[in-house]
Amino acid sequence: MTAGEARPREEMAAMPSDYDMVIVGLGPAGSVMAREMARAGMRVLALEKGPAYTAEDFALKHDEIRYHVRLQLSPDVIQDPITWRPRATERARVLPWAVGPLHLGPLFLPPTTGVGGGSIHWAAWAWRQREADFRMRSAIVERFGEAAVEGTTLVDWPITYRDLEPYYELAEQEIGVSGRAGNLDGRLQEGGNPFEAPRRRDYPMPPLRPGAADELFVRACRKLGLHPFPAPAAINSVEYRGRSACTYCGFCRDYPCHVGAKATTTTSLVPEALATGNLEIRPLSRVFRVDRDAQGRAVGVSYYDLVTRRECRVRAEWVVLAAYALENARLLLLSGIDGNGHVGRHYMTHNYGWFTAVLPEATNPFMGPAVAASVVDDFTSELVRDQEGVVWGTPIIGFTGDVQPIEAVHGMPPDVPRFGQRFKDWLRENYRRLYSMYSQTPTFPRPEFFCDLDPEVKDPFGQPALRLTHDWVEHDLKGVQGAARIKHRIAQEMGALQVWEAPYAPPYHISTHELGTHRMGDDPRASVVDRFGRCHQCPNLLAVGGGMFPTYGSYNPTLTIFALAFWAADHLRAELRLGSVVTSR
Amino acid sequence: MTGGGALTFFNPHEAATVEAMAARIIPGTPEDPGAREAGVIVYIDRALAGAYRDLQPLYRRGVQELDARARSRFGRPFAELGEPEQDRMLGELLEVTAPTLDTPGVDEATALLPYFAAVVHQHTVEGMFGDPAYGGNRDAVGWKLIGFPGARWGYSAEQMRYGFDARRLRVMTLEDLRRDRGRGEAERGDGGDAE
Repeated sequence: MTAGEARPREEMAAMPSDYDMVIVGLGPAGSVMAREMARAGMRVLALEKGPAYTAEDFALKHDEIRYHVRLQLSPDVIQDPITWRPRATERARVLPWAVGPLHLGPLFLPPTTGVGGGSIHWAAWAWRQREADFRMRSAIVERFGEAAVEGTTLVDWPITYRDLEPYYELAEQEIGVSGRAGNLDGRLQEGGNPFEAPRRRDYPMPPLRPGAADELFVRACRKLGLHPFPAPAAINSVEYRGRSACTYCGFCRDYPCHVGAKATTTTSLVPEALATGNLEIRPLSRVFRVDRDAQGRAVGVSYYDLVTRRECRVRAEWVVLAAYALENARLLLLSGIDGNGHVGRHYMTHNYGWFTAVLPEATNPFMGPAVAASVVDDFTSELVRDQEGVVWGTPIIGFTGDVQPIEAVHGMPPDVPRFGQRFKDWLRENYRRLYSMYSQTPTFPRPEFFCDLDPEVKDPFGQPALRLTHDWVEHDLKGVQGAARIKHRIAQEMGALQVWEAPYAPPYHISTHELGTHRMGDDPRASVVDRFGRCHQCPNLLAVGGGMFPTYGSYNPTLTIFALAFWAADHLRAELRLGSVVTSR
Repeated sequence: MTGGGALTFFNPHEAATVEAMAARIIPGTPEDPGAREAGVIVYIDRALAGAYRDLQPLYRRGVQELDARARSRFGRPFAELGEPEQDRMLGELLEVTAPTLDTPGVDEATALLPYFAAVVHQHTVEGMFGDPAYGGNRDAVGWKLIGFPGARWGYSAEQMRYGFDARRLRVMTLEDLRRDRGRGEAERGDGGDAE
């Protein structure tokens, strides 16, 4: 019998495993697990719902219709449905902001499917969390009192920044991050972020060349007494480990990279894992269940081959779910693993605060990646000033590139007519002079907001869709409003001719930054996975990725996802006596 | 229609109606091209025959209802109205925030036309500012209008200075990039600019 053939469940339990480990999803977390375990000598199979992309797929990617309008990389929410409702008393329907011809764009869908996953389309902001982000509940309670966390399920992380620091460093070195250190072992560095948590090692590459309007932002911020620094970017500013430097083509966020300069795992971790000879990848394989034996141990997974539509099974000693926070939750629930009712709970996302300005001269917002810009952290996390009701702050992030024409039309000021000569003339005069800033207000986990299985909507294979119940609450809106006040002052100082903002209560409820759906913790009654990503309820099953986050700060989560995966893999290697990478250094 | 042109989905009347809508969304003249001159109708027609096939019913019924409303108010179908009448009708439809037709509580009879207009607006923008490969943005007139140099391999430090006039750059398309593949950097379409 070959690995892919279906077998009755009873028979399976007696069969030997086909692989040491099967990994579901080859995005950032799955790629790390694949490389680390394949290098440790495990025979690893990776099942990926999307295609196995190669460099040839991305060579001519400069196409806003294909990637922004027609969502080439995104999962199709009709074929692969997720439903949403604002509160538990309502009936959910397939994400209304993500379907149909007026959809809001790839940022408001789950991230890319295919080998590389979210690391294909990401804008590549590569943040370490702040120390306080690991002890969010305590930090808020110490400053604002218990009342400030009422109605939330905020907790402290079971691990600290210090625990994760070596893995942040490993992630930065392995995927390649450009930036300027602000705090090397407690010594502040000129031009870096003075508020960053101490790091042992500088970024492996200097910062990217900033977009045109960045110098105005930097000057304005300094004049206001703020501390601008270049955003850390997982894009090569110089050639790194045989991968090219960025060409500043401006088709970066939401697009694949045509020169391999962006840290996409198809150019680094995945080929390195394949080079061991221990990794096999089966693309277009859609997992729908973790198979378990009578004792509840994972014995493998069941999946559909998306070409033949056949149901297949594969057996493995270890199963790793790395299919994004949302799909991980669905797979756990479909497999009858509910983590004492915590799977799908503690849902968190970001409320983006979009702010756009017209500047006096050409900014050419289509040049260079959005991330090639400066940021201020003066108000981030626990550094937020005392503002009415806002207890967790956000960076103010310059956004200088990656603005293609169609997206620019979607982001036009509300008082400009949507058609006719004035519409046309506004674009003629102002597209070249756009400059944006944005912020990311994190939501707090709350019992009334969660994911579960939809009782009505099914995917094409008859499996229940994931259902999201979420709405914005006052803190989310006030966080954006507070950040907007700062953006207004910066824009004024930059000489902006016109400014406008997106609504504080946005129409979307997913943002490619979904987290918390299989929270990690030491207490099996209060969390789904342990600090190393192992399911309390099923110890040879790991669920890694953003779903592990107990709470959410205001930085983009992906570097922390990479670091947590390196952390999880390293501890598994140590436990299996396969050699730890970090602790043996 | 500007000089006719083959159709792959629309009938001639539907094409004339949708083109009339697009031409009021982004008006133009031969000297200062708009949606009509950019061939936006070719983009929409091809999209509906292929990638947007699921929207064929919306366009069919949308054109019928738009005509019905134009006839009842002005005595003629939309495409035959004068520009002021067309602008009045479009303005009324586009100022409504169009809910999707499956929004709970939405009455399809009143929602259909604002939704249709919002979709035509979106597709007009796509046809004006998407790559010419898709049938619109003829001769990259949409990109030239707003100063976007198109599908380029990259930009130099000099080009990324504040105030740089990107209209000096050669506008490139996906077709140019494909032709460039395998050539050395100096022979590429933006090779001269990027130095």
